Amino acid sequence: MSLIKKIVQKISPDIHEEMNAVESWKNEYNEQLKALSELHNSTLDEEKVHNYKDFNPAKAWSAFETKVDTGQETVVKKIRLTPLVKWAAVFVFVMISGIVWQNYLRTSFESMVHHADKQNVKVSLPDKSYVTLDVGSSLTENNFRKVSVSGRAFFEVAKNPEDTFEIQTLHGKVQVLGTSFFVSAMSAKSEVYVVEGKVSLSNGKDRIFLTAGQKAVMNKDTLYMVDLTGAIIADWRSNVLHFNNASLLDVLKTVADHFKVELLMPENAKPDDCTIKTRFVDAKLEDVLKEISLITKMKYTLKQNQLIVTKMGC
Amino acid sequence: MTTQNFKDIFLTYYNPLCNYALSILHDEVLVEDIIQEVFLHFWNQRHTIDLSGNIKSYLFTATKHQIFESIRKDKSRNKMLEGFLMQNNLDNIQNDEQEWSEWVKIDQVYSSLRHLPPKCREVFELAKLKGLTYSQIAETMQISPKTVENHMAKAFTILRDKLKDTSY
Repeated sequence: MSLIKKIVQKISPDIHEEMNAVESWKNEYNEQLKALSELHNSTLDEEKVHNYKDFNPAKAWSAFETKVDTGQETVVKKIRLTPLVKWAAVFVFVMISGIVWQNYLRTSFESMVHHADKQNVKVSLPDKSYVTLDVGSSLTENNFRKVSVSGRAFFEVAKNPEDTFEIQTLHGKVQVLGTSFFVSAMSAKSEVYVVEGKVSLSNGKDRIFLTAGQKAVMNKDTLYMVDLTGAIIADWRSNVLHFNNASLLDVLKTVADHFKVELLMPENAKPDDCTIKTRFVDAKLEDVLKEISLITKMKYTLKQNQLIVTKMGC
Repeated sequence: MTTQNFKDIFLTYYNPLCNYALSILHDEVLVEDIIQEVFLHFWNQRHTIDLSGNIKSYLFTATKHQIFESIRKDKSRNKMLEGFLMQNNLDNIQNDEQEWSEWVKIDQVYSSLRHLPPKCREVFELAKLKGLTYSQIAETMQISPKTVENHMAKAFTILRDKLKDTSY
């Protein structure tokens, strides 16, 4: 830069040059004038703007995704295979499944029956799934990942996306990939309550899907989801009874069911408007009944395996 | 709220929230941890929180609490705590809202800048964010002042389009 230019710059400071530039720009672009004034009038704190740091949201999101199960379907990557590789892949697949299948056949699945006589029994299955059987319930292993159940059972099914786990009850089929849930297969109906994962139920006519926290009832003709707002959670594994605004009738039915006693009701007993909200952990039948009779007008006698309710109401 | 909704919210507010926290804590690693916590909480409650009102307020308030919590945990930050409390007790909610909007706005300007062509962006940043004059820019970038003007004009056109629909 020449000395003269430097002197000129000192005499006519930057501001003039800038003003001129802005002025000509203003004339040329009337529209931009608005934008300029908008930006000038905005009250952005200069210090904040200056110290602003560009973090990496995308990176943070992937870190976040590892912490929570966002429940997104895993995207199956499409791999392009040349025809030869394709055939090879098919061949290898057929070979592998052939070997596995042979192994199944060789062990010729023995139809094993498990029965819980006096206490809960935890059965471990060949596929590393576990079934906890309630007293009086039984489980039959029909095939690899195929069982039938009667009575009450809690399933923890090993994950295997390729092979569904099937449970046959008197009323239909329960299919899962890997999850944990309760099955109660009684003579009149089968009930499924899902703790974790996704379960499919079908009775030959209908099919529904349950996810965690949902419950459904199935018999040969009907299949429906249960509204759990008057929620009753009876977890016989840990001996927990949880009633959330349930009616007295439902509570008594659950209690009788839970402790395996016969429930005898007064003849005029009908659905009531009691809202019972309580929780029993590892409590005895006597204690449970005592508390219920304290918070309602229920009167009862307990004889051996019979719970005789003489008075209802709240 | 679908996962996609949640992700959109995450990506939109991540930078403003981090910078808000950074303005108080001055610790980038800590700040990112805090914002992860905030979103983790948000995720767990996404079904129960009523968000029909104001997501921005929810997230910034949660961040504020989280900042407070982290300061409280760290005894060495006691001095900062005093400052923070002073500032936040005196400020009313309206000021909070204003500050939050400002952080969102700054982020919008910054993310709009990403849409500018590189040279254009450089010119704009030097002029508007660093406060250089046009001739200083011309000199640093070794281009003519006329080119600087052209770049600025272009930047304004693009930015105006990008910022048009954002309401603040």
